Amino acid sequence: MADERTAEIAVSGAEDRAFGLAEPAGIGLLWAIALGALGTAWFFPLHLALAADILILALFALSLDLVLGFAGIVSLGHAAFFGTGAYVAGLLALAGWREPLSGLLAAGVVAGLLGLVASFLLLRGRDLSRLMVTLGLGMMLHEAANKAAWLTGGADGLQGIRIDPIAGLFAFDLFGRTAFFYSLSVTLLAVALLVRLATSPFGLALRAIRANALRARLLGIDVERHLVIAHGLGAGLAGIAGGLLAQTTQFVSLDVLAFQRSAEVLLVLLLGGAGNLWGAVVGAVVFKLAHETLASITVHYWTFWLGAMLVVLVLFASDGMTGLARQLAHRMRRRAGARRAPGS
Amino acid sequence: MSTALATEALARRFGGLVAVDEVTLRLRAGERAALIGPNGAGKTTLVNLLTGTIAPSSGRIFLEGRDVTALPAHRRARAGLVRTFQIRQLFDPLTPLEAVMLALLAARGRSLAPFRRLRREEALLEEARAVLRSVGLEGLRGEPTRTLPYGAQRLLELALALAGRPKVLLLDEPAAGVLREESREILQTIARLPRSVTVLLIEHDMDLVFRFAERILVMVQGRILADGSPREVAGDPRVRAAYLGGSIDVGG
Repeated sequence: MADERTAEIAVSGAEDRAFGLAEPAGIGLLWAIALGALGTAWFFPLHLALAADILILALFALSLDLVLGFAGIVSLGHAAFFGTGAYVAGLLALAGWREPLSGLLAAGVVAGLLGLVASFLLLRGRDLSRLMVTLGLGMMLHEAANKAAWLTGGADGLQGIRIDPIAGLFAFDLFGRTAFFYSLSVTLLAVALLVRLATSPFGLALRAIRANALRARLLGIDVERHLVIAHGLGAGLAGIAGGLLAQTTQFVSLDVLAFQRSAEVLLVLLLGGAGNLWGAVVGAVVFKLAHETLASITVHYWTFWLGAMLVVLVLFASDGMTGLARQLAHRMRRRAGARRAPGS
Repeated sequence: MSTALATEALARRFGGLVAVDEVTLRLRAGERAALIGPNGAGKTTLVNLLTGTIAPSSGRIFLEGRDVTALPAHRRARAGLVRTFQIRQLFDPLTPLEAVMLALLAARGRSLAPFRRLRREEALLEEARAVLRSVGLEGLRGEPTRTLPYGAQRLLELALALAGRPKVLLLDEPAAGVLREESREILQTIARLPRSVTVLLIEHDMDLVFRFAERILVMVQGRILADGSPREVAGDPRVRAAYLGGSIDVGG
């Protein structure tokens, strides 16, 4: 009886490894975010604004992970959807619609629809042309928002945004406590959704398409449809991240659409490692903390260290920090296995 | 006997070059046929036309009597027209279990399900394991494809095609580059296929062709030069001429 049980467990363990992206890893990520965030709130109650910032960047990077890490669509214009979400949430609030949850949903829906439309421009061509198309779209939207000052406030941005208490209970406070818990809840929900997606047939199909689109097509997969949906979902999540920023900081400026922001989120994802969800979160934490630390020591040299980080990353850890961690774990397991082998 | 796959004056021109020149052929259901011909004869182009990766210049393609000429590649695959590749066309980061699961899902048009859980698809998982068992890859099902030995990768190639529930299977040099004993294993797997599957083998290895095929089509310069039983084809002087002085010997 006991033997049967162990056999069963051994089989399911092998099955877990047989799925490259296992559910336990995803659930672990949910716990890591929740515990990390709550720990921060407990030990550093004066840094909740920074913590909320990190969560929003993590959410933004996760949305890019869906597009780049899973669907394999290289993008240098992902801020287009982040910014769209920010402006939608901001404009709704200024127009008198101050309920936060529906405002956030609207931000996601509008950005998602824009992402669906834009994705048809990304189906043709390979990496370089996609890079150019996304870069171009981002620049166009940025300039359009600059020119449409009657709507967006132009260079002054959207000011005087007021948001109702969440669920009528939690008002946004000066210490950023509500903003923090709001960002945390939304991020956790998004991660749960992404984990579900990553371990679904759709997630598997996206990874297959990224690895070999021709073969995926000849197995009967409608490659274009999968990519369009992935890009739409990724854009929608980016819109929610942008909406979250607008609602929690109660301000929207033109730089939500800036090229800088697209480049930054790409760097964050590559720093952490693309295609495994963990990387986006790890990247966001490391990036923001490094920024805070380095900028407080040497104000002007932040971009220098940022550049250095990028070079080191590409040369020594092309799969990002999570890739590096996996390699180390693999090597240690091999060494442990080698040590055991002579005895057995 | 019913027709599984047929073409009608199928042609493809690349600029001035006629790669496939008005090919009309008919494969009966359950048939074991082989397509041979010298390099550059147009065999690969013909396969690409059949599977829909390239569009024909003219002519038509029928799968079980239905005109599929305008059907996109993924719909043809789902309809049961499945191919394997001569060169490595696998999913490097996926494990064999994942890849075969994907093939099973794709064949059923069920890959677009963002909220189902892969691990809850127990019937499909069971079927995926059975497919891997049938090609002898069950023990390697959890290893990333890129780390598999070459022979195992060829078997996985075959497993992916089998998981696609093929009605017509186009095997493009399934044993290219593998060792002798592995090639035997691959041939045995192919020979075990049920008669509900029609097989067209595209192959250079004459030994393999003559052991497997009941019918041989010889393609030269974009045309079907000869079509008949192995004995007829081997005795055909035009075929011997095409292969420069008769390097074909019957029966191995």
